Amino acid sequence: MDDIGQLVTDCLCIFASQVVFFAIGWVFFMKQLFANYEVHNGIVQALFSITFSLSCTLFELIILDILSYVHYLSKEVYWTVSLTGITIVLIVILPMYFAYLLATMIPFISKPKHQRIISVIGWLTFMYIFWKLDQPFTNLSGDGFLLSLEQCISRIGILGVTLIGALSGFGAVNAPYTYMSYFIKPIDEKSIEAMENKLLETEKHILVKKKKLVLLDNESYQPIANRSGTGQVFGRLMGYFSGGWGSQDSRQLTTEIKSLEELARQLFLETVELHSIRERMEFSKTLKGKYFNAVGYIFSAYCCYKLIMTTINILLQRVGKKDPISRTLEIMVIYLKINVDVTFWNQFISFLMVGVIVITSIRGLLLTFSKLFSNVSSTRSSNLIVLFLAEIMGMYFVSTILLMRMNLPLKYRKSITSVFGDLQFDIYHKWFDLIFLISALISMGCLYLAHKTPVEKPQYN
Amino acid sequence: MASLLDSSIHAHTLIPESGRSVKILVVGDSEVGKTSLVHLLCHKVPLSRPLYTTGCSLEVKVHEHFSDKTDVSSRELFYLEFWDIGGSIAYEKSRYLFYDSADGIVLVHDLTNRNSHDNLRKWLKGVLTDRNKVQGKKGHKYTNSDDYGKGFDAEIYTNSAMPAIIIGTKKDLSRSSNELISHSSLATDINAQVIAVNCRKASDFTPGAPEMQCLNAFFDKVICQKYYSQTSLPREEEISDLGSSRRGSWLRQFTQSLNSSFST
Repeated sequence: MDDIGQLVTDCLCIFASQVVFFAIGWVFFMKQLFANYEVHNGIVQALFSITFSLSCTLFELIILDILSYVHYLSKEVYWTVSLTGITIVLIVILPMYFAYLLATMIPFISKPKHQRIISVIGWLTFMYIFWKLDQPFTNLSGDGFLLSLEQCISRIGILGVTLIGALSGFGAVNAPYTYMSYFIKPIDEKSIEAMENKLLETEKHILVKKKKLVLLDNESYQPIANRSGTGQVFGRLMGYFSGGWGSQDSRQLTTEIKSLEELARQLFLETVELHSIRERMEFSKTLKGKYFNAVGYIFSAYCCYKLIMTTINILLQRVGKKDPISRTLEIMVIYLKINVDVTFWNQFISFLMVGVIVITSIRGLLLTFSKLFSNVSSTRSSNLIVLFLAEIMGMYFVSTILLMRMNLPLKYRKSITSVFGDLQFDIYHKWFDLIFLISALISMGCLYLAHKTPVEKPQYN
Repeated sequence: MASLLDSSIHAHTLIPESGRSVKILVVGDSEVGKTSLVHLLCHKVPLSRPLYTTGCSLEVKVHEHFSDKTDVSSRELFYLEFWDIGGSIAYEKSRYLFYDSADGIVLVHDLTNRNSHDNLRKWLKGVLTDRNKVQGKKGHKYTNSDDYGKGFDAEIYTNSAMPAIIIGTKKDLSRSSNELISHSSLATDINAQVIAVNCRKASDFTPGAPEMQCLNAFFDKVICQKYYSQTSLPREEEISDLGSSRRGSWLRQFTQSLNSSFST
């Protein structure tokens, strides 16, 4: 009886926390992502919040596991429920609804029945590609059933790990570049002023020419002295029949105006870039900026270390066996002869580390989403982009858990291992190292090119 | 022939290239339809393929202004310069360059998107505060767009004496346009007209349409404010008023309204 009572209370608590996560996702969607749009489609908002809630539940279960707050039975139940839930959402619901929305947007298909058929076809294509992900990785998850949870999770893991590797590689190279003042090209105030003046002068030229064009197109507004032709009546008739001087002038004016407008656009974009460089410079002089600069140096040192380690790992085909926490404690006990209560510190530090990773990855992901969304989306594509982001978010969080396993001590590793079944975790780590390296190298190349070639100034005679 | 006779009578009111002009800013969130609106106003045909506006897109229209409504010969011609400012978030720190010496402002929002109407306060405040931030002024601080949302002060607007009009676009796609028009709190705050248009057809912009009449009245107000009014404050005073206490504000508004009623 006691056990069942405990089970029920635990489940209710976890369910309550799920509702809280759902509310957080809902509010984030409304206030941040869709800050400039009106939400017409409540289903998209609900799906995003559900994905967020399920992902956070997974993290929560790991933390609870470390803290040993929860009865082991309820843990098992909830793990299975959450994993099944998120798998269904990621593989079935999100892609299906995405395909359905896409089908509704195609202009020449209007009947709902056709739209549904097309969305099912779209989903089946997705499932086929999803299934074929197993090819390059031999024996990823043993001989499980075709549609078993392990098979699906293994593939989600591959996609998610690729994503994390690519983002980490890019972040590792980009963060030092953005924050270290070593890379910020100094811009003096005079050149910015010169650029702004050029822009405003060009706009003035455009206005003058447009006024000329308006006068040419509407002859009745012109003073009589400017009229074409010798006599007024004769001049007007000539204008009507020959399409004469007036239209040639106006065609020439139109081309001149077009090239001036193009110049104005270029100048404006350059001005925007100069302003952002100036802002970065001013930020680097503030206290916060100096702090970020120092962190940037430390971070770039860490990233160099990580790159070297991953290269070695790949070349030597090795994967670390012992997690850093236990290793540190081991060093402290054996070599430094410090007496520490290994079990307690193991738990505490694991909890801290997992907590920090979880919070920073959630926060980082949500911030990146908001920025990306405001840059990329338009009124028509906003729903599609949000669904895509929800899918990425689910995969990202599931794979974070997979990768986190290596950093946890043996005792806590077991819970993840038991839940995820018979997955070959080593493959994920090797794959992550590879993608991390490739992504970092590509980002370095791109940033180098962007840094070296200055923006070409358009010539205008 | 008749037009030729008319033009000979009004020869003294025809407009040369260097004729008088007013600068009207057209602002609003990205994709509400500012470029389509301005194109329709100036070229009388809808814009077939609108693109995102980078920076600022300029259009010019000649407007007939009658200083005396009953006298046809009091017609004067003015250039209306429409500065259609791109609403992308990427350009928000550089937009202030275009706000200098504007005479009127058109606030555009999308009737299918409630948030674009609520953001108009931020736009208005942005224009009013950034107008003085032109190049060469030392010591200016760059305001974040978050700051614009806090405490939009209708008093700043009244002091600036810049006529405004609020236009809601995409009337054909919206179901609640009338509701929005009658309940726009921003419109009551700044005493502006609110109209709803469909920028894909020219029907709302024919001379007889009520929306076009409203727009013409707005243009007349801008022209009067710039060329025929004695009550407009010099521009620098508006920003120093930001620091003034609230106690004096109602007194100031009262005296200003007295001044304006006595001078016209």
